[in-house]
Amino acid sequence: MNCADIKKKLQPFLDDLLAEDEFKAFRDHINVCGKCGKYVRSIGSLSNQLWKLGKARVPEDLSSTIMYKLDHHGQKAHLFKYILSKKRIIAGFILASLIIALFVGINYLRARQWPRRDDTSIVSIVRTEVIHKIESPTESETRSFIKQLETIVANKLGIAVNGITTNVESEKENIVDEEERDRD
Amino acid sequence: MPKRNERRLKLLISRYQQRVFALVLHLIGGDRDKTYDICASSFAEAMQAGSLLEQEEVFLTRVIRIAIKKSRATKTMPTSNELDFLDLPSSEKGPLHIVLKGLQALDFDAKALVLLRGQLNLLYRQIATIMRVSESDARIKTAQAHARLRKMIGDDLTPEN
Repeated sequence: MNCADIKKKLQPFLDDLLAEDEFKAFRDHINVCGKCGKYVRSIGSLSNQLWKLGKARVPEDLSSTIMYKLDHHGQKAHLFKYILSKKRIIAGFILASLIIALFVGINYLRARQWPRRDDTSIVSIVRTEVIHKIESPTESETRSFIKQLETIVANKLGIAVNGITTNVESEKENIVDEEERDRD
Repeated sequence: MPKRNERRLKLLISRYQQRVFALVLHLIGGDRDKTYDICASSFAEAMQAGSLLEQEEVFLTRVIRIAIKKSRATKTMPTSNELDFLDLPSSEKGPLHIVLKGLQALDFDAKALVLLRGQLNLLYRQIATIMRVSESDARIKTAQAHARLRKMIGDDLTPEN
């Protein structure tokens, strides 16, 4: 495209009606040819006004800031790539799985041990209560006390307490035997 | 960084910094400090993402796409002193005031399309890549945005000569 073509194509250019290849040729010419560039800029139109908006004053230190950021960003990106390397992701995944498995395992074992351990402690509590709180138990008093305890334990734990009852009843018989022996 | 690469980077920056700076300045409504930050980080990211051997057009497209994405995410209020940052004689700034007012009334995408075509003179192929739409969509949407802008500013613009 030459300078004469620019005058011919100016109106279609301003109205944005040029084909892409013509637009490119027009743009390239006015970027190179100062006279044509000035001529096109002098024509008032929306396209021309928009074009003028591109004449922004750029801060002088923008270039050096970009270079600084580029170095800085490069280091950060390198660190990011290092952390996100395939091997490290796999290692991290395995480590996390192991920690989760350990945590779940410990909780599972504790859950399994819990009723037995608690069962034992409750039996010992029942024994203590029977021995120390009932000073002179009659047959019916002892049975009612044990019944109450059974209900409480069953409500609290939601488990069958036959074992406890058996233990407590045998304990009660022992106590009664001991008392009879003492009396004798 | 090798000296040759540094020279190439500086060349790219000096060639395109004004175009990108002006685009972001008008997109976010004239906040010069934020424009500065967006431009610097957009150039850095675009350079980091691509090879130095690629075509300049590809680089320009990428840096503009990043800058537009960052501008979209930036919340700013339009400032009244946007024209002060333009390197133009004061006589030429009058009609620009009306254009800027019209531009600020457009939605972000329409504003970006108008500026990409009208200010940066990009081809529709490049605009389509930047805005992630088809070329025909870019053409239609730009024409619609231009029409809206023309309607907003009305007949305020008159030929200067």
